Amino acid sequence: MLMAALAMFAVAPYFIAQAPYESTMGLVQKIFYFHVPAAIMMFLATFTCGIASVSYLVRGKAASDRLAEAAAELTVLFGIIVLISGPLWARKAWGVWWQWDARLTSTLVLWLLFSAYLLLRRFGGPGTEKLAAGVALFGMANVPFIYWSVNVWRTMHPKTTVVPSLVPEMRFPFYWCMVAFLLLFMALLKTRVRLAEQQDSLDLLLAEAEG
Amino acid sequence: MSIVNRIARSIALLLILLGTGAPRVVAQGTPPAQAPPTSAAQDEYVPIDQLPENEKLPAAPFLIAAYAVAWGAILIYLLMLWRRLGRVEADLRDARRGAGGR
Repeated sequence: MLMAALAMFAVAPYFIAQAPYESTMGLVQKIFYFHVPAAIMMFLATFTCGIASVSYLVRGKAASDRLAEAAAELTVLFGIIVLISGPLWARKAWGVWWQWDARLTSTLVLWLLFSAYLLLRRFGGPGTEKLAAGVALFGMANVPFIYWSVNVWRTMHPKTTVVPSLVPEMRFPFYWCMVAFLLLFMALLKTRVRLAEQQDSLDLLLAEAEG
Repeated sequence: MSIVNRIARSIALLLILLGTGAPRVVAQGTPPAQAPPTSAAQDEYVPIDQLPENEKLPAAPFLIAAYAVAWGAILIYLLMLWRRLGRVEADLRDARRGAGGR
């Protein structure tokens, strides 16, 4: 899966170069082909973390907690890509690096929430899993607000109607990148969950050896 | 000097002071007339190749930087994950060997 994703990423620049220039933004609009799939993967990771956290809070299964922690790490990773590629696009298209509008600010808040989740898991000590799960729920609740914010409040950010209205020449590279990001997301999530499983097995073995 | 003369001289002095200083005070009090700010392409159209060098903002560096950040972040995370997994698996093998030896 990872190899397929990396192969698709290797070919993606060719398809992106073939896509036509957008009329008002020109070349810089091609950041869109990585920026939007990364944002969608960030939302997917957030939902995965949130749902796994609900499952952990209700059933208390360690597997749910491992999935939640893995997904939280991916939220931060894809969030970094979104929050850096976005301002690079904005500087050329809008003339400013950042606007404190609803979409950008709430995306930053989401990223900070999941960074807090990871810091809590890393330095919170034993027993912080449930507290972290609560933080993940707040993060998940933020996602619909981020998604619809561009349609509700005044902003310079493009609206959600942009993607469905893409012309076929732009649609193909966009969906190519979407599939590449989705494969990468699944491969990274699977590997990160495996790491957590191995870590738990190691902790159990060490605890048995000591006890 | 009579009191009338003294008042007359004081008034004259006051008038002179007002005559010389007042325009300056008025000039400081009212802001200078300003032309309203104009937005780009409102007064005239400037072809893009005639813009001064320091006002041109090429798109390519932003595009390359965005893609480099995306690729860089993914590769760094992949390497970190690989190293962490390798270390934990090695520790687990050692721990299992130790547990089996006892």
